[in-house]
Amino acid sequence: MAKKTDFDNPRRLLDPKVIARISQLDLRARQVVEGFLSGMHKSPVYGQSVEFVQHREYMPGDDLRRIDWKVWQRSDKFVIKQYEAETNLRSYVVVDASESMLYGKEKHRKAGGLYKYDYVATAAACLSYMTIKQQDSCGLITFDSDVRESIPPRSSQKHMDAVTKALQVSEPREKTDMLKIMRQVAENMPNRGLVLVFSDLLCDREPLFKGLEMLRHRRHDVMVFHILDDDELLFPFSGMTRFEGLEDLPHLLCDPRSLRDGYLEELEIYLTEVRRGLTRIGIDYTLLRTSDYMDAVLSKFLYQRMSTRANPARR
Amino acid sequence: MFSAFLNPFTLIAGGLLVSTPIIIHLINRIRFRRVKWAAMEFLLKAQKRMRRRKILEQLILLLLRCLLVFLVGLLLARFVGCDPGGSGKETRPTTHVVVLDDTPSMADVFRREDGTKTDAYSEAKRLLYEKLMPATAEASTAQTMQVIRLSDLDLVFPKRTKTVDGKARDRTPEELREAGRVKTSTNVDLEEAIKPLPVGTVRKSLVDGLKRAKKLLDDAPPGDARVIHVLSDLRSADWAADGPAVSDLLREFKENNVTVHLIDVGSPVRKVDRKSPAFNDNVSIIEVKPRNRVVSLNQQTEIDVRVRNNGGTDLKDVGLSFYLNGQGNVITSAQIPTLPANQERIQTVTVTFTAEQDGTGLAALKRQLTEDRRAAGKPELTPDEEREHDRKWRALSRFRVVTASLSNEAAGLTVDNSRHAVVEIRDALKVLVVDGRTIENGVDLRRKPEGDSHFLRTLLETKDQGLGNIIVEDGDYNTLDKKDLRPYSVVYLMNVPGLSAAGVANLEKFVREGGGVGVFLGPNVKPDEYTAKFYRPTGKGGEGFFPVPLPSESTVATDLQKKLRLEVLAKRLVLREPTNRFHPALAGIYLDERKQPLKQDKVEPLFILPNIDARWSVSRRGSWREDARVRELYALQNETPIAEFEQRADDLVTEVRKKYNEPKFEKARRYAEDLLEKIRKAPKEATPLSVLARYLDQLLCDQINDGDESEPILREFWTAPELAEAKRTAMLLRDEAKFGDPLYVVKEFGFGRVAVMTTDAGGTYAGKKVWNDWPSLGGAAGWVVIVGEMQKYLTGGGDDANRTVGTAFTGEFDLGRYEPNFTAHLLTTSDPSKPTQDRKLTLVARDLDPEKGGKFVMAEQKPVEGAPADAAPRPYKLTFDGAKESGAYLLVLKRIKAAGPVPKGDGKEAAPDPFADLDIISVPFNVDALAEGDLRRANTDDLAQYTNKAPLHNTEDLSWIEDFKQKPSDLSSRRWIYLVILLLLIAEQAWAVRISYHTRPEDLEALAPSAAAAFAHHATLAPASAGEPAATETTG
Repeated sequence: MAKKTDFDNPRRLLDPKVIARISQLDLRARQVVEGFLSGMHKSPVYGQSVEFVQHREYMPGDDLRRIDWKVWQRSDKFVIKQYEAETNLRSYVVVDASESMLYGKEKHRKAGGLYKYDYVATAAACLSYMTIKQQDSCGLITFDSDVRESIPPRSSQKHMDAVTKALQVSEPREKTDMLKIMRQVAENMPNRGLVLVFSDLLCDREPLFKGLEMLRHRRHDVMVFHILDDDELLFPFSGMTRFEGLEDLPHLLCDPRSLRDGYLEELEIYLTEVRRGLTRIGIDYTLLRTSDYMDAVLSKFLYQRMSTRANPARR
Repeated sequence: MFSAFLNPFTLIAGGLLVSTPIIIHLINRIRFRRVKWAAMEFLLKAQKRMRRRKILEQLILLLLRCLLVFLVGLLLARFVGCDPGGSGKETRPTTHVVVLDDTPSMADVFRREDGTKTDAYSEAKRLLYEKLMPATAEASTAQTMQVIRLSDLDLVFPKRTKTVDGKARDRTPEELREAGRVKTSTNVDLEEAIKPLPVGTVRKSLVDGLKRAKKLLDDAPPGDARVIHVLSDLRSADWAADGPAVSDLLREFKENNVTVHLIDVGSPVRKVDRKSPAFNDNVSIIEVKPRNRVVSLNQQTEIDVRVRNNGGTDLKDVGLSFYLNGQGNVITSAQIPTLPANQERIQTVTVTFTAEQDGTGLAALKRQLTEDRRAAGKPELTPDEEREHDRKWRALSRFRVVTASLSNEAAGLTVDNSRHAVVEIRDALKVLVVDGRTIENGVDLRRKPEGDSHFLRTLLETKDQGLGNIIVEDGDYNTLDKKDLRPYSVVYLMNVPGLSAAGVANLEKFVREGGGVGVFLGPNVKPDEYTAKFYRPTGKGGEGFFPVPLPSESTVATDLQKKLRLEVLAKRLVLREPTNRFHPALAGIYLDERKQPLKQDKVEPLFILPNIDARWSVSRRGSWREDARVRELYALQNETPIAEFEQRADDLVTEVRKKYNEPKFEKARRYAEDLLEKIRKAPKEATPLSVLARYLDQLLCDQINDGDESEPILREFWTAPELAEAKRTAMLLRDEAKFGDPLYVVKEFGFGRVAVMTTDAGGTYAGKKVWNDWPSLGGAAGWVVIVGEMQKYLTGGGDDANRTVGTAFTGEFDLGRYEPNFTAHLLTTSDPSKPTQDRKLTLVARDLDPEKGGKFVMAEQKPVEGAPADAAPRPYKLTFDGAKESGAYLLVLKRIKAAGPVPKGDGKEAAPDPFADLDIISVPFNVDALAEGDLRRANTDDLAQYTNKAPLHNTEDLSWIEDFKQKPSDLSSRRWIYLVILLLLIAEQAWAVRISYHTRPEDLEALAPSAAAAFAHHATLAPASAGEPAATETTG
């Protein structure tokens, strides 16, 4: 077998560094999703048409129209034909656009990578694109201390433009207030749907949990994509450094190497707390880093979709 | 030192230096970068949590770094443990005298660690100009260095003379001191002065060197410190001889505050923990000795070469090459099969000198000499001088240089691998025969069988028996005092009644200087004269040349004895001791060429034939036996009536029988019983005493070796301690029964040799052969061999002392007979260790000049005080000490009156000898291989004892040289301070590493597994999903 060159690797287009070179967000989304789908070769998503899934024995109370008469004709048994749900998915992409998402903007610009907000925006666009391409509807909410942009779910191709525009114009600023935001999100979503939250979750845990719990109470499916920069995960700084807190946090002048162990320990406490808290509420949680390939998000999303279908009780 | 250190400015500077780490820290705090940070929450918490621990850790690190800087600072200030007073350290100006040992043993070749060849002497020189001198140059006070070497105690550095206006002029003491002043620049001068010096050939005592050094130090300014450095290989041979004298000198030095450093430059390096240092192997030729110093042309002679293995390993097949006048392949090479460690072997080679072996040839020698003269800038010779010079060298060409050389020694000294000897080749040897009876009744008895010397003359003139050409001259005993005996190799006194006092003195001088005297006694001998003048008895032997005192009357055998003698076949001459077989006078008879005893000699069987009826019965017991120089070689058989021995034989038999009944003697008893019975019976029958003697010999088995099966058993039997007493009795009895009167006695006198036969040489007296028929009748074949060997033995005397270069040769020569001036010449070869391809060396000839210019002159001696006025003037004293290289030195003396024409054997006068007026003394000088070849080195403890524990250094550890730099020492010159700093550095680094951030993947894993999972999860997930379709594609 000939050695595969880099060019042959279907994942090459999912590299954040490659994506960062594409300035148009909708192009980015298309690029990623097409690349992703072609990479998968076989989409795990069924077609939008009503499709047969399986046979089930007739139970009293089932709609008689659903009985497969062809089977009765051959075997004299009442069997129900089950089909894919007909209702369209209604999903909300909730993107954190607070100041903390700006971390590493300059650095990544220079290095040609994606900073947190950039990454999140791309991921959000991708998901929107994919959803819309499936004829599902997708809405977008960006927020900082307040909701900045709110686009209701639509499934038209044009809607994609509105989404990308909203993501592009939303330059992050100010603090995050999760409880407040979640409440607003919940109010904006009258029907049950899928809520995809993109945030670095650098805020107080208590309001965060409360806000998300509220969404769950309303029987929304919630997925949290927790984005952190590589620097935040590894803390690779050295030399005397003055850390200037974003979102009104104080400054600190220190030798970062001496604090690394402590930092990492604290980070671990935080991550565990977040993961446990979200799992407890029944929310899917994914930790992303800015250097992750974009398919991490997409595959997570699709996985989630498939498991929902397999386990409809969760709906 | 302290005050300087506490100076406020130094203190501030030091403080600043020490606080460098703190300053660096502060500077770092000013220079920081800014990072806008979102996850401030964790950072703040971490800082709050780790603050105390971090501060402590960082403080420790800071402390370590400050300490390091502090220590380095102290080190740079050389303050650590400094020795401000310089206790015991020399701070005065110093005068150094270096005594450089350049004796031959210093040429010991070895390999340095890098494999290059070097020798002890080069190492010593290098140490001097590369280490010692530069070290003293660093001293803060004035340093003067003077260098002398043992072979030449004149100053080597600085030179005694200086050149002013193109002329050499002696330096004044002040100038000398100034020239010896050590500055850095003078290193070049020293190196130039010392580097080209070769190793000397002369063995010199260290004592002389130290004495000379002392003299040099006496001239040093009074305030100076005085140091003597001895650079030597410190061999045990030197120290065993010089140790006590050195010890005394060093004690004196100590009293005068002179420090002596001994520096062992020998190889291998003298280790501190090894008392007896290792030494290099070396094989030396320690003697080359021709059997005869003067031989006639075509005469065969032997050369003994003594080779010594000074090493610690046994050697096999040690090859010896020989060169005659530089020509190889003339004398057969020899090989010593085994040469055990620390032993010597004598190898003998046979040489026949022929006219063709001239070597380089006279013409080439002349050319060489002329070139030498021109090179030395000497004036050309006038035609007369030229003629005389030619004549002299023609005479000198009689001398041949024999060079022996070890052909395959790999290491060790080269200088002792060869040795020269000199042999004079004459057309014929001159022998003076002095007859007791010359002309009787008008008949010249000298050449008649009836005379005293007929048989001897016949033997000498046969040119047989390896005797070579011999010219026999007649001598007159009445005028022997007037005769110049130097041209003769041997003088024979045949039945001479006696000599005048002056004659005896002349003869004695002749013997003492190396001549040989053979004496055959006879009826004309006046015993009183012989005893009083020739023997001159003292308490312990005689002081004259004659070995034995004579009895007042000669002894004649009785008719009964003659009759009994015929009854048994017994040897009528007996070897006095078995070891006499090895005596040089008999060695030719009993030993083969390798000096191994012959199994069957050809002479002894003839000893049953001669009848020796009359002799001078020298007393068996007497003080002459105590003289170690005298040796009785043959005795006559004892012809006393056997009856006298009956009682003693009985006693012996009884005594032995009493002892040997024990079962352990069972075996011996079988053989002994028979012999004892014979011993008991023999005296009872009228048998000759020799029969009893033979039985006793068979019983004792200590002097015979017939190969009988009983011999080993009986020998063992006599070693039993119970039989010690009986053995002594038996031996005494055997000796008395076996040995009659001494027949052949020899004596070494001075450098010469004397041989005496107590009977005559076969003369006839009044028509009757009264004395013996040995030379004329049946035993003649034996007589010829024994007297032939006697002649060789007598010519083999001579001053062949193993002379070493650097020693002096002295001799005395008659005042009236010689001119006081003499000339000296050298005959030697080019370096024997480097022969040409066709195995040749170049013969080197040189005319020598006295060192101080002028001529060689013999000194006149003052008359002895109290001597009568008319006493003969004392002879000239010749002293020659100009031998600096090994070779044959030829001293040519000129006779005032040439010796007369030589009468030939037939009485006619021969052509006059063209060189008759030249008397040539040949003296070989060689390197003192015996003392210098032994590279064994002195034991460290012995040295400490001899030198009163003077500092002893080796070439490896040169720390002692540091002392001469006169620098205050402190701990910065010790190793442990660096060790401490190193340890601190390691600790600092280890600590810094421990508390600092070093990115490692497992760190993240341990501290933040969730974060790590984010990396791991996606990294592993992605390729799986990517690889799958690719695989399907290829298989599909």
